[in-house]
Amino acid sequence: MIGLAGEYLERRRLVWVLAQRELIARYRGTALGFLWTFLHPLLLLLVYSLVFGTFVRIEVEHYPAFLFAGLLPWWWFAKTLAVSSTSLLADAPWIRQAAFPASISPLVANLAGAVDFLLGVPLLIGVLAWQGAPLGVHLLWLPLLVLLQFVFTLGLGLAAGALSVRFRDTVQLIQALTPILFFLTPVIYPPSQVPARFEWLLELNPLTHLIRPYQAVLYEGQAPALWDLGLATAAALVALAIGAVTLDRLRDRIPEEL
Amino acid sequence: MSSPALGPIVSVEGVSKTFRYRPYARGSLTLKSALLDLVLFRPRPPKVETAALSELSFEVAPGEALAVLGKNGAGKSTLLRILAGIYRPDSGSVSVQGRRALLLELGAGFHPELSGRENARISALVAGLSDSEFQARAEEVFAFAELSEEQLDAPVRTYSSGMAVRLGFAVAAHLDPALLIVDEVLAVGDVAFQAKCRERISALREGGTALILASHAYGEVRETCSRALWLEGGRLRQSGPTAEVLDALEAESQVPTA
Repeated sequence: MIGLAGEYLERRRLVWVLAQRELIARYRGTALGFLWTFLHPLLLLLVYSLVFGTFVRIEVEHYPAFLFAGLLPWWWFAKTLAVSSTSLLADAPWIRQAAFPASISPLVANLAGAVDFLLGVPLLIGVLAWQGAPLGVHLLWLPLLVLLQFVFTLGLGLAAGALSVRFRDTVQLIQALTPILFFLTPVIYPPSQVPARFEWLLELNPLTHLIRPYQAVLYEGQAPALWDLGLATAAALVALAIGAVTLDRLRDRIPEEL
Repeated sequence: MSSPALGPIVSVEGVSKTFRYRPYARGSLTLKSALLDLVLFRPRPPKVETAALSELSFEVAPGEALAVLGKNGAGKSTLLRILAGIYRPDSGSVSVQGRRALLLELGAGFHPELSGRENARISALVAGLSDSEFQARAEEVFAFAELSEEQLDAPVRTYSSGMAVRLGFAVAAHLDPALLIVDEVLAVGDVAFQAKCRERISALREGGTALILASHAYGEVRETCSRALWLEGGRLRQSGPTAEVLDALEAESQVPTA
């Protein structure tokens, strides 16, 4: 992990330029350009609220606020993991033919994903204010939550990116597992609606402990549960260790196998 | 210009490199089958090993030009990639004092989807330049490459091989490299551009830049390089003054001098 940090520090200028480029490319090509960043999540939120709040009738007060507090960080996780898992394959021309450290690609994907998320935060605050959520001092927890999620997603992204070079089905596997994980994370339903005998399913899922603090801070206006924070921290560190070790084991062969 | 170092720019000691892979019946390996193999204790096909380089040692002094000769598959490209820091040797040590610039194959190290402008910037950053250092010499680089504004803004996949080599050489030549690594490519492009490249290479060498050139164009090698390595099956067959090595090589392969 120390080696990884040193590499990132040494290559910070390259990382910065690549992350900028990634963001520009992401928004330049779309028809509505930058506006799409705001329209797309709003449209999705509208449909989710309609389907799960009105059609399925999940009993939560100010349902759109609850929903958005969990959806925005979930989207960050899911999108970034998907992009990270293909990032080494996408950067193959550099990794194969230039002294381009493979560890940079997932970091760039994660930085761009984090910026995407942060751009959505004002929108989230707007929806929360409109729904009358108790926005207050507990919002100060947000930077910590963002940091934990960044480390967690980066760790998984490093592992997925490196594995996808040797095992070409890694990307498909992640695409298949992500929706399963989504339904086992309390994003569209509150944990209170989960019968006791199924609670372990949620508790075993590290995403539960990352998402619930967002809902506490943003929707309930409370400090996050220490239980969740502790487990989220542990999950982030374990994920980063897995990512660093996986990449380290495979790194010497990556330029040859790409 | 890079200041001439006192010791050798490149020193290679006992470097060996072996490529290993498992020949799977269905082409590439999948994560699913790898996990099943592990769980079911299924036998995996034994690794196939190819020794690409064995026990190679040499040094290159500032301003010196070294030719790497040999048939296809002799280990020339592997050696160049190790010198460039892309591959890691299995054993032995490689040390290069100062910045490395490399030109591997056609338009290599460029991302086909990015514009020439973006690729030049990223190549410079990968080589270790800061963004401001690159911006300061960008105009010079693009002028040297003889590409129009429209061409610079077009994705590199639309480039002809001559255009890609011109841009690649222009970037490499403006990095103030201590070591310039060139694989084959200089024979591409028109005569005028080749002359310009040769001129630039001599200017760099006068400033202390060492050159390592892998080439089948023996005429060019004889003219440019004072010393040569002849590789055969990854081993050093002969090394010494270019004329001697080339004579021996040509006597064996009975190819008329280019």
